Parts: sequence; structure tokens; C-alpha cells
Amino acid sequence: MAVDIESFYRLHGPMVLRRCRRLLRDEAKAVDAMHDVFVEILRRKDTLDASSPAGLLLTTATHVCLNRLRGERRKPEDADDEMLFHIAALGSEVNAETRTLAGRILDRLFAGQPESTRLIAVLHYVDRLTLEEVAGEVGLSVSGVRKRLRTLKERLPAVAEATS
Amino acid sequence: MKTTDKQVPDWLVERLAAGELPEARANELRARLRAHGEEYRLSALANSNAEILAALPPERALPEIRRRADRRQRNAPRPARVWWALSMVTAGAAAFAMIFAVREHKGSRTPDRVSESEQAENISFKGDLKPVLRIYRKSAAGAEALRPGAKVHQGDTLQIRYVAAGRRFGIIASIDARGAVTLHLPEAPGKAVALERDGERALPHAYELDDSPGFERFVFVTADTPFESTDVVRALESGDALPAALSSFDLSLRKEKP
Repeated sequence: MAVDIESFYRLHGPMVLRRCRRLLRDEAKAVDAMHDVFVEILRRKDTLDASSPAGLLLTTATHVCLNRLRGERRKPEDADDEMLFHIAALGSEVNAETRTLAGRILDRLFAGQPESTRLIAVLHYVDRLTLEEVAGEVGLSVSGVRKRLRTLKERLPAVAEATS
Repeated sequence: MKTTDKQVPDWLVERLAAGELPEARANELRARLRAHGEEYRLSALANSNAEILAALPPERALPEIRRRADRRQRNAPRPARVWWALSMVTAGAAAFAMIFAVREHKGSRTPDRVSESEQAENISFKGDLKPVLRIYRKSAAGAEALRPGAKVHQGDTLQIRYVAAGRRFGIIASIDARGAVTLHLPEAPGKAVALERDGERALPHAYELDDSPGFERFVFVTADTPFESTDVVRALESGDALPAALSSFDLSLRKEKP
């Protein structure tokens, strides 16, 4: 796929910045993350399926921001913000716990796709997409999305508490 | 609460504005926006786009993006860099071979055409935003993006998409090695189609390659004023230049026997 980063930026740069603003809630951090989103696209341009550039960029922006939030030490501003922190932490829990038996089981539960599970969680719990809408966006069945979310809530009590 | 009663999430409004959703889905979301009296959210995005691009124009953002990408590439493991360089050389050689083949076949070249080697260079780094064609091959795993010079076969099903980059009218056609011209947009001779001017847009129908050997050259001809498909078909069949008011983007695929 011919990734034309200039065309991508002109057409979708503002959308990426809005996404980063929404997730990071800090203008300077959002601008910084926006640049990194396009760096990620450039870095993987030979292997990306960029047939839906906006979807690709929104997804990449979500992952970049979640990785930033993982290292944040600020206090969540509201329930959505708190949920984002929980979801962001999911990746590090998966990675850190792979050294333990429980962690390895957890890792297996996510079938090597913790990134898409985090995206599903953000779309449903933070962006308020319905299960059907999430399924349409990530290319899974509704039952597949429901199963991922159920697994996430069972294994990470913080998420279950925040959504109850 | 039914889905249709819900406010449309920002994520989906962005996807709608980008023009990437299937038509039925897009119509449903527009209806939901209308039902909530929120059609303004689409125009608000357009205003926000203009504000952000004014504050962070490409001239400022792109050098920073490339600087960061260069820095990461310098820090990347060396074999990956070698692979990347080799792939670029291979792509360049393939593009050069295709240009040579097309020139030999047609005997002339449209002056305003963007060459494939220029397109390969343009993958990410140079030039103003230009109309482009993107072609995907349907496969069991989904869709495979095809680069200029990619190998294709009889029976392959291709999805053609375009980015108008602001151009108002366009025609997409292809010519094979036998000189047969096929119109893809519009699908019958007539006036150039009013293009969707933003985002990447798919043509309504996929295209199955026939048994013509050699190559299939796709051409996206655009202009800001109306024109006729006969102008394009005549130029493709004769190898003559397109009228000066028209510009074109070429993408050729190499057809191989199965």
C-alpha cells in the first residue's frame, strides 16, 4: 500500500490530534503523541493495510495514547479518564505478569492480541460504541467482542468495578 | 435503548466524515445525526480541521515527523534497514521496468502524467497532494494493496479506490496490452464523474482481470472542469497526449500467466 504521509497528514492530521486530545487531555502531550502516530505509520508503511486510512490512524492514535497513559502518574479527571488508565494498565499487566504462571495464562487468554482487546475496551467503555458498533469497527463478531470484554472484566477486577 | 436512539459517538462521526464507511452504514449514521439535530457535528469537524491545519500546517508537522522517524530508523537493528533499502531498490526497478514496457507499447507519453518512478518516490516524501489511484486485490485473507508493477493474474478481482485530492471531475480507465480500453468510472462512455473530493473512495464494483497478457495500465484522469470519457479513451487508444486541461495518474500492473 502506498502510504503517502503528507496526504495522510493533510487529510487526517486534525482527526488524529482530536483523538489524542480526547484521550490524553493535555494539548502539549496530544500534539506530541500526534507526531508519534504518523511516525508509527511511516515505520510500518511497508506492511500496513491502509485501505481505510482514517480507521488505521484512529486505531494507531488510540494505542499510542494508551501507551503514554500507562506511564502517567496524574490523578484521573473523571470516570472515563479512570477507565482509560485501567485499560492502559492492561498492557503492562499482561507484559509484567508473563513471568508468572497466572500471567502466562492471562497472556494466553488474550490469544496474542492484547492490543485489540485494549482497543475494544476503549471503544466500548470510553467512546461508548455499542457492541455491534465495536464489532463493525474491529472486524469481529458481536459475540467475539462480548467474549473479549467478559474475559477482561473477569481477569482485571479494576475494570469490572469501574464498569459495574 | 435502541442503537438508533443513541447519540453517535465521536469515533463514528470521524469515520463518517472521512468517507470510509460503507454507504448503508454512512446513511444510517447521517439519519441518527439528523434525528438528534446534530448534523452540525460534521461541519464542526471541517472547521476544526481548518483550525488545526492553520495552527499545525504540514510544513511544520511533517519535518518533525520525518525527523523522529529518521531517528528511530537510525536506532533500528541494521538488518531491517538493509531489508528496507533492498525493498525500495526492488520496487524502483520494477517500476522502471513497467514504465519501459508501457512506453514501448504506446510509443509516446502523456506530458502531464505522473511517472511510476515518481509515484514510487512520492510514497511519502515529496510533492503537493495529488490525485492518486489505489488498487487492492481481493483475497481470502482480505485485501492486498498492489504497488506499481505488482504481479497479477487472470481472474484476480481488483478493488479500485481513488483519492481526488480536491479535484472536481474524474475518469478511471484501464488499457491492456491488446489495446482494449475499459471504463471503470463511469462504467459507460459519457461525462466525467463528479468526484468525492476528500478521503479515499472505492468504486462501486470490483474488476476481474481477463486473459489479456502483459500488463494492465490504470489511469485516473482528473480536472476541475467537466470533460468527456471520449477524450480519455481516444488518448489511451492512440497513445497521444491528453488535452492540456487534464492531468492523470498512472498505475500499471504486470500480468503473469497462472
